[in-house]
Amino acid sequence: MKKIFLVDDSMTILMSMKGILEKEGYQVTTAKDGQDAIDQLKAGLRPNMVITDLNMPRKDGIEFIKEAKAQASLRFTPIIILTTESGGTRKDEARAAGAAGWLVKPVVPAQLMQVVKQVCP
Amino acid sequence: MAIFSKKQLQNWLGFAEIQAQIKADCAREQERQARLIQQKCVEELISALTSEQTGDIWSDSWPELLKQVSKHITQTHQSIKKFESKQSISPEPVAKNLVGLPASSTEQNNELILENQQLKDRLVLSHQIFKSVQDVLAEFNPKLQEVIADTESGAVGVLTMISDVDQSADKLVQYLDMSFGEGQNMNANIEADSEAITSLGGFLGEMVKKLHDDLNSFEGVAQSIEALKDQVAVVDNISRQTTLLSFNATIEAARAGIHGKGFAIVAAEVRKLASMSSEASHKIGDSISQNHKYIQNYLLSFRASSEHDAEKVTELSEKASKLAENYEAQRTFYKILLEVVQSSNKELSRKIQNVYGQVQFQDIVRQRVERIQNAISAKQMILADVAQRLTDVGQQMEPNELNALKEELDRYLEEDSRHNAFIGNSALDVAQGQSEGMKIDLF
Repeated sequence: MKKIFLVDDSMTILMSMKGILEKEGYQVTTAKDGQDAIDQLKAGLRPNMVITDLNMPRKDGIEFIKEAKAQASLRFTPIIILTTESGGTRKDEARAAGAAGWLVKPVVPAQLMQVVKQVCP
Repeated sequence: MAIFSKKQLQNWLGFAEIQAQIKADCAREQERQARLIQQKCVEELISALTSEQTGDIWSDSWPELLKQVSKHITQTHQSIKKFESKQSISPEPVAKNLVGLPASSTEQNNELILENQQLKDRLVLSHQIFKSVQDVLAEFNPKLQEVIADTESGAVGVLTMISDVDQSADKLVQYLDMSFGEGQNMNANIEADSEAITSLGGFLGEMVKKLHDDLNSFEGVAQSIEALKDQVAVVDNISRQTTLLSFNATIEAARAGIHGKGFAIVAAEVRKLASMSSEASHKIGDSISQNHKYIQNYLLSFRASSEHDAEKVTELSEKASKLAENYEAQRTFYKILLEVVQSSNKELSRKIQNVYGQVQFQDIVRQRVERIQNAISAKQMILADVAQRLTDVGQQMEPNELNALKEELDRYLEEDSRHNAFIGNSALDVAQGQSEGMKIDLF
């Protein structure tokens, strides 16, 4: 079973995304912000794919990606940004940090699953 | 060095005191004017804040209004300085006249003092209103935070319930799947049993037929036995004829005399054999009759019994066939039921997915409220600075505040526009695929 790591400071997003992904047979782990996510990765979590919010307290999405990508075991793990921001310089920053994609909230379940299956087949 | 009389000195001092008072009042007037204008701003702000549409807080009229305020403040500064310069009288010319103030000047000054006092009161009131607006703004953040927490709590509650419904639906389908599987096993057993029963019925039917055939054979045997009676009668007749013949032989032997003695002995033996033969044929005839009767009775009884058994076997065979048909109908019913439930569950599952999608709008609304919160906080800081200037008479109002407010407004609008990808699309439109859908960009 493929493991997906969700990182978002919104409980609503975490629960709804978890519901969508679990119904499709994925194993989902969640973190409430970038720092929490880094702590879990350092503790040994090895997801097949990460979906992270951009704006979060303590550590934002781009900082999180930079730190996660610095770990050898996560260098090739796809990390997708999920945000309300439509793009701009922040998207360029995310790409430079190593993000694999940029999705704009709210997610349409069917389209989200297409992306997930493409990135994490 | 000039020498003044006491009266001259008193007059001069009195005038200087009034002049100092005027200066102080002018400063207060300046402050009052500024605050009056700012009060207008505050009233506008209150009106905007209490508007049902929170977005109106940054209406386009605000920056323009603040520009006018700034202009008024500058004009007030200028007019007050002009007023001060007109009222400023050097002590020396006054000392030269030493005639005291004319009555008209005193009345004018009294009016100014009264007017200044009124201006001061209004300024204090303006300041208080301004502070109260700040208090209102300060209250907004925690309240908005409460709103965010409430909506998130509600959304989480909905998600929890949806998740429960989803799990229940899955359990129902699993249960039906299991029931259908067990039903199929049971049906297979029933089918096997039914076939066995049908096969048994067929076997019994065959057996009954065979019995009928055997019965017919028995009847043939009985008829053959019955036919033997005629043969026995022939034997008996031969015995009687033989006896008669032996009597005739005995008579003829007696006529022959001594020469017929041996023949008489033979005739006696023949008569004796004929008697024995007749007795045996009677016994055989009786035995055949008894056996024939017995067989007839048995055949009657067996025929009745076998017909009853044949009916039962036919009935059993029909029941077995009907049982198999019933179970087939039942299996079809369960199959259709399961298909309907599975189809409904699939639809339910799709709708639950859509609910998951729709609930995300709570997060989008939360972020919009947070941006408004941040904008209010920034405005609050600027207004706090303005309030400080209001209370500090030494400071002047400057256009920087206006620029800061405008910059803050621009910053808010720019940030909001970057997050407005889905504004205008309802949650339902997105869920039902009637909007263009989410924006996806894979690098």
